[in-house]
Amino acid sequence: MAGRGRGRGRGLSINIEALGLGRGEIIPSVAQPPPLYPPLLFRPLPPARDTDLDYMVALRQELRFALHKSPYYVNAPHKAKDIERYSDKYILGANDGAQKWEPDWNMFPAELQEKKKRKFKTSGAKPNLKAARKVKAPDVSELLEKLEKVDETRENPEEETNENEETEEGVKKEKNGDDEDEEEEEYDEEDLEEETDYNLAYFDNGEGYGDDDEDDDEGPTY
Amino acid sequence: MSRLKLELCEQLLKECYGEIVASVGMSLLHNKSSPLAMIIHRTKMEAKQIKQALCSLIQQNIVTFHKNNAGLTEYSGSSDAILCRLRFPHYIHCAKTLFGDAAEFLVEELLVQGRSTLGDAVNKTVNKLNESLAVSKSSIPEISQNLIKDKVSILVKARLIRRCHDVSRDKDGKVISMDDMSNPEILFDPPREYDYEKSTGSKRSAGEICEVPLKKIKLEDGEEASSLGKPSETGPSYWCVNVHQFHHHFRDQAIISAVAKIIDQKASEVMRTMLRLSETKTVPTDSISAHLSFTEICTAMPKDKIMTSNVMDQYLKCLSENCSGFVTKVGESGGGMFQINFSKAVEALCISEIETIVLERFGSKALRMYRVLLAEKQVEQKQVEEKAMLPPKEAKELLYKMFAENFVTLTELSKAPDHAPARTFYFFNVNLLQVSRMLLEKCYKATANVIVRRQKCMSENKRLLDKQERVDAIISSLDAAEQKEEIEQMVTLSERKQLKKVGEASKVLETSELLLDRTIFILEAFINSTIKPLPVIKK
Repeated sequence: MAGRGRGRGRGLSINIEALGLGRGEIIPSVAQPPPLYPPLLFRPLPPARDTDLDYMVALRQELRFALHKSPYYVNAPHKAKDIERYSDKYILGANDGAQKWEPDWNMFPAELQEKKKRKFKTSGAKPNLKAARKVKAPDVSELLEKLEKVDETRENPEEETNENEETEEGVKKEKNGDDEDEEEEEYDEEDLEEETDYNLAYFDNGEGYGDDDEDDDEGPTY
Repeated sequence: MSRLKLELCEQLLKECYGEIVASVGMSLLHNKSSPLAMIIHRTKMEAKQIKQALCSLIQQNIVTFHKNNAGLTEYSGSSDAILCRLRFPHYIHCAKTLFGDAAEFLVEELLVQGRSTLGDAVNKTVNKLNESLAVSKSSIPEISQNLIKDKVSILVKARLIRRCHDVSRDKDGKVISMDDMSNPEILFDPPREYDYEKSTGSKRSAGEICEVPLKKIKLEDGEEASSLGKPSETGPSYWCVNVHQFHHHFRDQAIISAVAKIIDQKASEVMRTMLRLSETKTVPTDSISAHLSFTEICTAMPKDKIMTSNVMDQYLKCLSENCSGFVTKVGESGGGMFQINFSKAVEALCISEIETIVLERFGSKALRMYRVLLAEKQVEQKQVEEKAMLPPKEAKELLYKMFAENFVTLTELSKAPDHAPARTFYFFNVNLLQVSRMLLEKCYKATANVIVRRQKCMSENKRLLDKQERVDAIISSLDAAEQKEEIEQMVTLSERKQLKKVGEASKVLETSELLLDRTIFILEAFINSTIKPLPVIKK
């Protein structure tokens, strides 16, 4: 019983001779895929050129450029590489300059709409400088009035000179104080605008300068 | 959808809209349709970017969306819409040759934007035209909006541009799916005055849409049919390019040039007139045109090309007998009734395309054999040798080479039930559909390869190209000739040589892309013409 099945395994199941191959011939085995770049029988013709085609090629290049600049080109977010580089600031994406495109949400499914996040300021609350200044404005006018008064009193004969001097000094002090305040405010603004201002961050009052030298003056160290 | 087609789609998306859009688009093409959450899960990218990419794809008419049974919005992409991007220059050029520069700019604007309101498109076109007028300093007065609006009406009438599909909403006014039009004629409704209004949609904030009172929407639902003609509260409707009409035009153009080659220029004029006549009478998707009578064709001929009825009769006879059945005579009434057979014409075009490929690949002797196979349908090897008049050895070699590359198929017909080779007939034949499908795949592959090659060529020389661009920008901003020369010197001689080489190479590659697309178009047209439309089930 077992012997019956054995006959099939020998050689090929088909009659090779019928295919035009001799008895002893070995069928070439295909052990590898065909070459990636099979040799060409004939060299292909160069693409035909005419004015229409040239025009279309130019159109194509123009179109590609327009598409790259269009807001529909979604850029990958800038990936942080190994380290942050200074030059990263100046590398522009393909369409960074393009205007932002907001789809007409009447035509698009609502679920695609990015919900706008409300910004809650938790830290770094800034004083409203403009409002603050407005509040101060009447103070300034009052001050001016005061000054005018002082001037008037000055013009009067020296009746209350002592008192005058005192008030003048007081006013001066006040004025000085006010000026300083304003300067500080401006200073703050600049600081906010250019956070990375090198000069501001780095401040050396020069106190430590030369300390080492003085030590060295005492004599060479051996 | 085949793998190679998908690969080409990916390359095109990447090139036109960036990596992110490409990966979202591919995830949609790999799966028939999927909801947003699924896309996010599959692509593993940030949801924000996926949403942005989906918006881009919808805007470009690549992705459509509908509501599934579970109530979720599902998105599905169309690979054919992506492949249209290869054909953009063809569309623009076609619009230019048909209707002039204004139409060219309009179509270009619509193609770049995907969809746009007419107001925006007209504005941009007017600006562009006036700019180019200013540059050329011609004496033509400024182009007015009305002139462009007329052009728009002409384009709509020619069906080259159409309205975008409207969307349907749920009760809360949220957009859920795209309408599938029961009546496609609505899409070609001529533009009204309100269509030119400035679009407000883009400026509308997100909150405003939700504020649309429920009442209004209910009203809208109630009179859906009548509201189509009126300005809806969502603002002017969007318009896009109707690529199908462009494709019909390309097909007609191919038929005309084929006739010109087979017979002569005058015959092609007759053919052109017949096609123009049939255009208005026939549904563009039909495989045969409406009947055209002899007198009709005679009177419709352009004035400068009028010919006597005798000559005309000869030409029509010639057309119906010699042109592999482009035109058939269907009756004698009205001086003779004629009909254009589009499917036969497309088949003939496809065959000639395949024959060219065989000629370039295997040589003229192989082509001779191939023609024998095409003419005789089922031929034995020996008959092929005899009919092509080739020595058996050479014929065998070429035939089997073509067989190995799938240009030729083999049918076995056994005399005995045991299929013994000695008692079997082997018939060679050509299965046109199969061969054109195979070639189409190869074209997809070739196009993708060309794109990759071009991109490599560009990225290798990116530094040089950037430099050239910057130098050009500086030169254009300068006035003095001396300074210009100085700046020009910045690009050295060897660099210039290299740049020229790169430019030349990319031009050849782009030209071959365009030519490949022509082949793709013919092959696709043939394959589509063989697909019978599904029978419409009437409820």
